[in-house]
Amino acid sequence: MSTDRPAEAAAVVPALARDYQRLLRLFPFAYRRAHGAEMLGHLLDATAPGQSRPERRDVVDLLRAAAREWALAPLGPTASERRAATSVLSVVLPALLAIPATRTIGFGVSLVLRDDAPPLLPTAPMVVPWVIWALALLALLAGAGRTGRALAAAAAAAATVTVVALVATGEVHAAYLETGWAVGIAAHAVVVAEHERTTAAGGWQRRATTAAAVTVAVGAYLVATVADTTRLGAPWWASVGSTTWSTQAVVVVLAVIGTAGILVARTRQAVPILAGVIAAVVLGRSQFFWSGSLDPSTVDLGNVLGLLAFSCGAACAGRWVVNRIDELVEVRARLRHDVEQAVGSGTGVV
Amino acid sequence: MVLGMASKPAPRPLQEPAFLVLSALAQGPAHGYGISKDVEESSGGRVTLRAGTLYGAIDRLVAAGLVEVDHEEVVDSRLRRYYRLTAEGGTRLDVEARRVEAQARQALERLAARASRPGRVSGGLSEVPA
Repeated sequence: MSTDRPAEAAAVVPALARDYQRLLRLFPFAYRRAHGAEMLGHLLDATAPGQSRPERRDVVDLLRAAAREWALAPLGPTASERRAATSVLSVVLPALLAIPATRTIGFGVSLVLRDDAPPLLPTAPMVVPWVIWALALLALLAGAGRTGRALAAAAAAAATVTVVALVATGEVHAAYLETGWAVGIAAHAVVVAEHERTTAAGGWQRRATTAAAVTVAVGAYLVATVADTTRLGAPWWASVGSTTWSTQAVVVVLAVIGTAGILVARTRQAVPILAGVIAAVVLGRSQFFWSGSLDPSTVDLGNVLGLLAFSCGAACAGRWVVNRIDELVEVRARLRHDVEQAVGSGTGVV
Repeated sequence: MVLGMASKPAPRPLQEPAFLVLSALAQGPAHGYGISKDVEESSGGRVTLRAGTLYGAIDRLVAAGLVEVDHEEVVDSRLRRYYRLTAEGGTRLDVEARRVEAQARQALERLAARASRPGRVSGGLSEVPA
């Protein structure tokens, strides 16, 4: 098997090699660095004598693979990094998202139970995506991976539709506030899809960990806000958790936590996605991107798109940093291995 | 072995490309092009793993610890990275192959029993809808 290769490589038309190189340039840089050279060798080995252009099926296959790699790039350049990222994110993201889900669903239920309640959807527009997301989480915790994956994707679609509908109906300020959570729901759908596809079924330990994390997060939220809600006589789901911290202080704390997450090898791969989600959520609740102080009517579509761009930028920047750190770790490990080999073989190192 | 595996999460059935890649590597280390040729031949030309799909599948198998890089060489200025099965990959392929074999055997036994059942004018594979 190891000799199963062309005895000698056929001469390749230069234009063909150039076309393949162009196609491979469509892949993310980190993936190209990992597989670009061997993929080019493979493609050239597979060429028929006299072939001067890439086969259409090869082009379609490469375009599809490049699109897939770009879609998954925030999770990591190769499957190993993605596996590490989804292992952490499949626990952390549900814990993060469970808080707004609990609040919104609680608000929705309180509306439904009131006699003089205003219409549910205009008042709590994100209630449908959050209900679908909660069902997805329950399915995942129950071990129904395929159902959970489908529901998570449906929740992401519903959140996107809700945000678009809010913008279309002129409720841009509401859209601006909810876009961060819509980004979180979409990120969770991608994480679930990748995690369920690549990880062994069962995994009750991970499900138990996720359930515990969700319980702790919701419990911590309730404990943190119970004093305010009691004092103000507000319901538990109301947003009364006012903080005296400025946006800058919150950003500094998050940056410190993010840096710590990057330095720990086990959590490093999850940081870029978390950075993107948290950037969108924090920005949606700060005055930084508003066109004018606290007037909701001044928020426009540009703010929503800017928030999305900022979120993507934070995820990309996080991924860039993590990839560079991975490279350094890899070089260091290789160097250490070479030194150990040199010492072991007695050649010595000066 | 069965008892030992009972405490672990049940492995998800391998998708056909992954199964065929592992099967190709069961013969010994191979590079990407060699794997794709073997997959095409062993599936009778039914499955073709092109470069984009193949390296995605290999990546996932490496991440799952079923396959690892054996060595690299450069031939005619082309990089060839050879992959090999890990011990876990060999075990997983063995389990999967036995599972498929048992299913196929059961299906054939049922078809044979169906064909030999009294009162049937004809039987066998010709009655099985495509």
